[in-house]
Amino acid sequence: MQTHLIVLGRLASQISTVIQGKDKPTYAPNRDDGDMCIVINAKDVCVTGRKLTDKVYYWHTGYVGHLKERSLKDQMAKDPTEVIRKAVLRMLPRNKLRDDRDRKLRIFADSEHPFGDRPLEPYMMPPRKVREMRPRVRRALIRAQKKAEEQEQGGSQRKGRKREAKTEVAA
Amino acid sequence: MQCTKNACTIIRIMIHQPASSFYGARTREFILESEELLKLHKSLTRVYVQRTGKPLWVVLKTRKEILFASNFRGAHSRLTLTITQQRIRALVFAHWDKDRKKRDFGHLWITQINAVISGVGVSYSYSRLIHNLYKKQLLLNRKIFAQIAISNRNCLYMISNEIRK
Repeated sequence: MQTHLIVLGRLASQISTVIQGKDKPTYAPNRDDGDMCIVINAKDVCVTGRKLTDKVYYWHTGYVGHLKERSLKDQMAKDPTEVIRKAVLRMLPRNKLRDDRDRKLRIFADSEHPFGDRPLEPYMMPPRKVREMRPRVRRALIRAQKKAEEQEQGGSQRKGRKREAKTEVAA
Repeated sequence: MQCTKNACTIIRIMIHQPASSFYGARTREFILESEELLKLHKSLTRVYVQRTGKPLWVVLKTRKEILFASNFRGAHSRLTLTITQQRIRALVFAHWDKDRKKRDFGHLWITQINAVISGVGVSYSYSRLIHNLYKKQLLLNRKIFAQIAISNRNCLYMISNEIRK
């Protein structure tokens, strides 16, 4: 699976479906019959909103007061495959098959993977409706676009222009 | 045989069964064999009655209960009190599981049908299939659908397309 421009959670839910074998009619909950999933370009996975800075992974070491945390940005810097792996693992059912299913998932940060000689089928993500932008975000986007245009044109009457732009957006 | 005052001693007896009685339609020999077994059972229970001094009906009942628990693990097939407990639990769970079985299989069939149906096209799913099913008043149930999905996927696609129209 190519993860370029795919959102993290949506990717992870599709992967977990494939790994459990839930896209096959011969699914049985006591048997682990899922396909092996190879994910490449893991460092290019996207998240929406402010999650790059604001999403924090917490874990407790067991010692009193030792709640550790790490943000998504730092995790991506450290080991981008862990981001997808955690996401998928937490979407799998917590039972005895979970560890075996974990072994079915192979994630690589770049496009290189050691399974070049095996027959691999590329997986297409099912099409989705991208929801339209919320009004505030859209206004911010328009403002940013206008600013970019202003900077290109050169700002001689900056203050006047700014007030103009603001009234336009408010209307 | 050891003399113990309890009818609940477990005695294992191997009975010689010639292989010929299991071939073909030799019913007459089978009947003879089963009569022999019944006679054996009767004489064994009489031995128990004689040795333990308990009445026949008690011996029969306890032997039957022990037979029920005879393949349980560890103390659950050996000790009297635990045999009665575990037997009750086993029967209760068997009764409870009758309803669970219906639920579990229904759940399984739904998952299997969904697996195949979601591959049909964009935004087609199990729920829409069932909706169309009820609209067209088709009488097939999920069990049959699941069997069709496993054995003959194209057939299921054909049915779902027919219903969709």
